[in-house]
Amino acid sequence: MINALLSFAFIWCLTYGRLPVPVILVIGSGLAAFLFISSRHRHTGFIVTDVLAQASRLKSVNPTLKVITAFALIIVGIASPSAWTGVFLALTAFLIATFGGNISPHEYVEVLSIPLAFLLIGGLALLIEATPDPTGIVNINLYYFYLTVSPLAQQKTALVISRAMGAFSCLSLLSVTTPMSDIIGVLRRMHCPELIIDLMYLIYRYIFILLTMHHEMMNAAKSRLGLRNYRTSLRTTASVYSNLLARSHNLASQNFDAMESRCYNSGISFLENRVKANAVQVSACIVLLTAASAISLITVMM
Amino acid sequence: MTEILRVENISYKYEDKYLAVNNVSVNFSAGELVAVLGSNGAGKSTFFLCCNGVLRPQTGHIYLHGEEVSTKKQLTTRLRQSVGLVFQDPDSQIIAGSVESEVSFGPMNLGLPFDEVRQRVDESLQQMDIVRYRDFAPQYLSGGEKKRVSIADILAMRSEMILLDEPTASLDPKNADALEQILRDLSQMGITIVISTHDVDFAYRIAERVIVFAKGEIIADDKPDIVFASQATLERAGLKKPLLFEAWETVRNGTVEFYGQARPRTIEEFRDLLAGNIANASQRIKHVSAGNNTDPSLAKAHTATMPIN
Ligand SMILES: Nc1ncnc2c1ncn2[C@@H]1O[C@H](COP(=O)(O)OP(=O)(O)OP(=O)(O)O)[C@@H](O)[C@H]1O
Ligand SMILES: [Mg+2]
Repeated sequence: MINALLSFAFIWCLTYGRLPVPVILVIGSGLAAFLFISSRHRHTGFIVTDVLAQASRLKSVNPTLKVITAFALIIVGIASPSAWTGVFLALTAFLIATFGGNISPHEYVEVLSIPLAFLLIGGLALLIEATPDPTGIVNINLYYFYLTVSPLAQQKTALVISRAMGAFSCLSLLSVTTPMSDIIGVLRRMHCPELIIDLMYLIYRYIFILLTMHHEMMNAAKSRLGLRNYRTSLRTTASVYSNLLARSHNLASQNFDAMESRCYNSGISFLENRVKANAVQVSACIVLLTAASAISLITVMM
Repeated sequence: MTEILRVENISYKYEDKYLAVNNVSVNFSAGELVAVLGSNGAGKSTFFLCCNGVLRPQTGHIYLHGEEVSTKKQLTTRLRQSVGLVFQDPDSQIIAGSVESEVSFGPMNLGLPFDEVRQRVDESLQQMDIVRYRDFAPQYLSGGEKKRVSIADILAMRSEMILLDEPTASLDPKNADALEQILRDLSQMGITIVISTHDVDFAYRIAERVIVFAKGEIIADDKPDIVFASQATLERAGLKKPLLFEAWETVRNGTVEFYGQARPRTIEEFRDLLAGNIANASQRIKHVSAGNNTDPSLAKAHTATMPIN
């Protein structure tokens, strides 16, 4: 809901004065409606990207190929001087995840929703300036000063946000098509330091463990009328959060014991997918990279 | 029998305050099937953690194959490789995002070749009947399914000794029976199995040896028949007699006269023994009343309902 409103405001400020108003309205409300509809389908709980990756049809593609392609696309997207590269990457990632990976669109949007909210808020902050005079395309008079959107800010913001959006999309695509155990394997083969891999993996795990625990504790509180009214809700929430820290600390230390009891001493590794990449997959990745680079090159030349 | 693990006078204090394991000495041989019993907080789980080397006892010695395990390095390598531990709470054991990754974690840490790991994972998933959950996220499984994953974790490591902390606590009867069979098979193969449990019936049925913990100490370590016959031990440990054991005692101390010292451990044995004794008894009746030309079947029916003396 918030994302939908933000995205409308963002599109409005970004394109006002460049596109005819009806077109802006159509694009803005279309995007807002899409975000609204796909986020309305709520899960009990939250989405774990690893679960999506396990169910994805693209799980069986060679993970090294996926990781390399994703990072190459990110580099192209960030290096590109054109805002269209980011748009292209975001759209392609969405299409690949949903049609190729067989993930439902609302699940993909939900994965993206948190970074998206940050991006939209950041985007609005970049677009809107406070000036003493009404110099922009959009000017809102606040008595002492004006909130303005200048054409230069529009241009800059479009580039920054599209780069960020493209990079986020590539990462999301990677994380909803490749299980963490595979990504770890690839990083290890690329000689990434063990410590960093272990930390990355454990942090990733604990985010979900914490969320699950929070969810369970809130349910337990609800079942005992802990959220009956405003006062009890406040108290319950406070005690849940303070307990969350103690419990997660405890769980983490037990988990570590359990890992050590199975002969762990640094260097987490799991069974991973070791399928060889076939020619079709490699060429698909090359086409993708070429298309992304072509878009940025074309804008440079124009 | 070859000795696998021996602990001598080990004690463990949590935070240097609460004495959870107090001066415990015990040894385990290859292929033994041992049950560890004790009330809540008796120190069973702590004892297991010490045997696996996760906790380092403040006092005492641990010997693996007769050699002392004392340095940190030995604890982490030799002890943990030889002694597998299934945790009481699967949530504190499970760390991976999918069942397959989870089960592969232990074997990967052993540094085994890739194909070997894959084969072991397949096998233990099959043993615990969780092949269909291979790609599932463990946190979305039910309690009993998680428990089975945590057992598969350790089966895949193929340790020579396996400690199971309350393995049957959340399993349904069918899966509990399957687990029982797996444990018996492993024990037949020479793997030492030590089970901590509150389920005295399960312990009585499966174990060749019973160790009873109370307040961090071992108060009994003997054959099940002897341990469960001692009312004093059971009371001290806050345990009950196994149902079958008690039923048999009731029958024995009652009106029917039985021969031999055998006690039934399973319901089938109970039935056979009962039938065997009645047949014996009816033989006697036949013998006595042969001169009276009584119908033997009548005599048999008679013995089943009437006291014999
Ligand atoms: N992490 C800990 N910190 C402090 N005390 C602990 C800790 N873990 C266990 N204890 C205490 O040590 C004692 C023995 O606990 P332990 O878990 O070994 O019992 P248990 O025999 O396994 O019990 P249960 O049958 O309930 O699982 C308990 O009284 C417990 O309160
Ligand atoms: Mg315990």
